[in-house]
This record gives sequence, structure tokens and C-alpha cells, in this order.
Amino acid sequence: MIALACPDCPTARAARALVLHDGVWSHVWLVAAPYALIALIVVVIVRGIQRHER
Amino acid sequence: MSAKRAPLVAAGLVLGVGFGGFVDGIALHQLLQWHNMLSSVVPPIDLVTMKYNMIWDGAFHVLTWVACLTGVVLLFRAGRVPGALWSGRLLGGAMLAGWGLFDLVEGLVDHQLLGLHHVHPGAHELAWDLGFVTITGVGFLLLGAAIMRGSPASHADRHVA
Repeated sequence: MIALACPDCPTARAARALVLHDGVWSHVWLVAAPYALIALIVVVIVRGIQRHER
Repeated sequence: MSAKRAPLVAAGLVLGVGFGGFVDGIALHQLLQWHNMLSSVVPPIDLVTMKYNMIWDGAFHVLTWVACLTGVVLLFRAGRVPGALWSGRLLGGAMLAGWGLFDLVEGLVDHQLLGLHHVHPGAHELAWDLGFVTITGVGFLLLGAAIMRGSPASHADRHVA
């Protein structure tokens, strides 16, 4: 368990298993949450500018 | 007649979000190694949990890359919109505002609301988090907005300026 950058060593397999068995989709949503909110804010800002320019 | 600012502002904001995200990932996750994406959920205390956090850092970078790609597409489309303003000042201001928007939202959602990680965990953790949100979040957002406001209102103004 000493190699860090390894495609198929016991450490890598253990890390991938931890990811898959530790609520992978809920974590995907957590990581994506700020981007979803930011996308919404950007749309609101740009629509506001477009309304102002009409 | 005033030129359309929205296409370039949209491109700049999204590019700024992407580049701001990469600054966070490269500087704070990799160079300084202050935190990882889920380091407050699964602290990187051994090789397995370190690799676990590196995988989620990768997921964060995937979304950041998508933001940059979206920004490039929006910039390309802005260049083809008839009557759209093409101003470096407007683009730069929007990019800085986008960076600030990323830090503000990421700081509030990931650090405070979800507690996924903190800017500089340990002593004075909250102070680091609040500094991140106010200085590079609100600060860059307001500075970017001020730069955008100073950009020309039309193509004619741009040539005069």
C-alpha cells in the first residue's frame, strides 16, 4: 500500500470501491450543486441585461 | 445606437466561472494542498482516503472543464451575433465577475451549507472561509461589475475610447 499513482494496485481498488460504496450519486449531486446554482444565476443576469437592452 | 452587451457578458461570466474553478482546484487543492473536494466528509488521512479525495477533485475538474468549454462556445457565438459589442473591457470585467460568482457560491454552498470542505481547515477556519467569500467572492464580483460598467456602450464609443 505504498504506490499512490497506480491504475490497478490494492490502494487504487480500495479507493474506487470506497467511492462506489459511499453514496456516489449523492456526492455527484453535491459536487454539481454550486454549478447548478451558478448556471441559474448567470441565466437570470443575462436575461436581465437582455430585457434592459430591448 | 447601443450595441448588445448580453452575448459577451454571458460568455465572460461562464469563462470566469470556469477559470475561477481551475484557480481553486490548481492552487488550493493541488499546489497548496489546503483541502480537497470532500476532505471534510472523508478526511484524507491515508493513501486510500487521499485517492478517494483525488477522484472527487477530478469530478470537480470535469465540471470546471465543462464550464470553460461552454464559455468558449458562448464566446464564439457572441462573435457572430449581429450588433453584439466586442469589447475587451466588457469581457475582462465579466470574467472577473464570473470568478467572483464562483467563489461566492462555492464558498457559501460547499463551505458553509454542505460542509464538504473548508478553505484552510484547522485554526481560524471560519475566518479563512469568510475571507474567501468576501475578498475573492463579493470583491471580484463587484470589481468585475465596475469594470463592465466602464466599458463602451456602442461600437462607436469603443473606437473613440
